[in-house]
Amino acid sequence: MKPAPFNYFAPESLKEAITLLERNHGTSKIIAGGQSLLPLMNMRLATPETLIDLRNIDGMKQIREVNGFLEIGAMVTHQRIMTSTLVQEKCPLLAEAAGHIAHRQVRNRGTIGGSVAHADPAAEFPTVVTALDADIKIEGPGGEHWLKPAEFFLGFMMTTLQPTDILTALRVPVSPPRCGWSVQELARKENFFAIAGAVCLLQLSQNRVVDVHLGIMGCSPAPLKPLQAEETIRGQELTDDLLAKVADLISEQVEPESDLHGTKAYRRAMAGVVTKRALKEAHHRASEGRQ
Amino acid sequence: MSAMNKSSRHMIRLQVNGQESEIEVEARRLLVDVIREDLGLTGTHIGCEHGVCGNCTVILNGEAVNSCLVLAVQADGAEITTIEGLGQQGGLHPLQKAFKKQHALQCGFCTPGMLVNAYDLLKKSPNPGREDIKGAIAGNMCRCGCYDNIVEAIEGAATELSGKKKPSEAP
Ligand SMILES: Cc1cc2nc3c(=O)[nH]c(=O)nc-3n(C[C@H](O)[C@H](O)[C@H](O)COP(=O)(O)OP(=O)(O)OC[C@H]3O[C@@H](n4cnc5c(N)ncnc54)[C@H](O)[C@@H]3O)c2cc1C
Ligand code: FES
Ligand code: FES
Repeated sequence: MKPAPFNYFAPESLKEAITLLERNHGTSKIIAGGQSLLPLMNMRLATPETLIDLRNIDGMKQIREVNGFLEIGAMVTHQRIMTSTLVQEKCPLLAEAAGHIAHRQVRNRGTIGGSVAHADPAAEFPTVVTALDADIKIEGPGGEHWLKPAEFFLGFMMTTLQPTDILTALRVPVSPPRCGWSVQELARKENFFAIAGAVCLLQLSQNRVVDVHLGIMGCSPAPLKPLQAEETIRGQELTDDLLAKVADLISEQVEPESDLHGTKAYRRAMAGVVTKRALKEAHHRASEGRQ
Repeated sequence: MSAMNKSSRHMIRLQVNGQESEIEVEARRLLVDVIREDLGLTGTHIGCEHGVCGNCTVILNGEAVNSCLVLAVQADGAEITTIEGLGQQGGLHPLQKAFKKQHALQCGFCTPGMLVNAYDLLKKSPNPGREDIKGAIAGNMCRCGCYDNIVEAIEGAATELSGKKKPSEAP
């Protein structure tokens, strides 16, 4: 099908965009890459009366390093994150996660801001942002503020973003040296949305895991950071016993739904399996000293 | 009710396969429909209209995209290459020749999208490995199932275009 009629604006400043959102309060939608919104509009599952395109606004397309963080503008595409040498060097987990998103046609348009705002719990970026406890920058009529993932993601495709808010940037901590990372997904076809997936960033010191960040995708209403599992691993050697214990913890903690692609019980079991795989690969990379 | 709403209308400029045009479009029109209906370039196909089949692939400002997931107004000022822009006058592009030689099509419905995507791939990485090629066409579906021959054809064209011999043909 084709989208229902709407009015379209492509403002050249953030201020103008926010004014437009205020003027069309609740009946307008932001469009970034359009790779989630346009399918919904083509199927008429979304029928906004006004679309406000962020494409002409300067200042949301940069990737830069600031004080131990990578600051990534909301309009940076998945493909740029995947291929950016700065991201590959400073936050390899994020670059690798980008490569798991869809295929090149989608990655060439889809944006990190759009992915995080869309808040699909099976999506890669919301999961990495949650695992790394990144900062999310919001700008609206009252000025700007930063939120933590726990203050941002509410549930299945639900966030605390207000109708007049724009997500403008993300700040992802630069990974420490000698760390390992991994993205593990179980999907029907490569680069489809994960039935169950896990991301991991892990730091070793003399064979002990001194720090670990985990994120679980596709198995809960919102991306999950399993704090208890992380705590269980910190300071320990990653033995098979510990891996088994962590897998059990994850399987208990997730709250999956059944659908066409997998039952609750299957997803629960697979969440544990992908977490183990992610920990193992991250551990392997960290011990090889790859960074 | 939004269904009673009217779309805003916009004058847009597109440069498609090197040719400039100025068209007035309703905001809700998809780029693929404007390419097919307003510009008459029906080589770009429509399969799914939600980004999963790749039949509508065009190159927009140097990037392969699904033109069913771009509004025409969003492409204002853009340079676009469609399948019609691939072969030169009187000659097929090496990719097209390779598809013919390797029997990389049966019904041909997916072929324009495959070719345009492969064209963009080879511009960016002239010597892709088999796995790279498979990854690159992951978003293009072929319902006749010619995938093996398609990969083969892209590999062959890459070899020819980059002037390198396949390992098996090396002296
Ligand atoms: C075939 C296909 C396969 C896909 N596979 C995957 C996959 O495997 N993994 C994955 O993660 N994603 C996948 N996606 C989705 C893709 O990553 C989208 O790009 C992403 O979800 C949304 O980003 P966007 O820039 O396209 O946003 P849009 O589609 O433009 O917007 C999405 C939503 O976010 C809002 N929004 C966008 N930007 C902002 C902003 N800056 N501030 C506030 N609100 C905003 C919009 O109003 C809209 O509600 C797939 C999409 C397709 C079509
Ligand atoms: S018609 Fe555009 S991807 Fe299928
Ligand atoms: S040749 Fe028929 S769909 Fe590919």
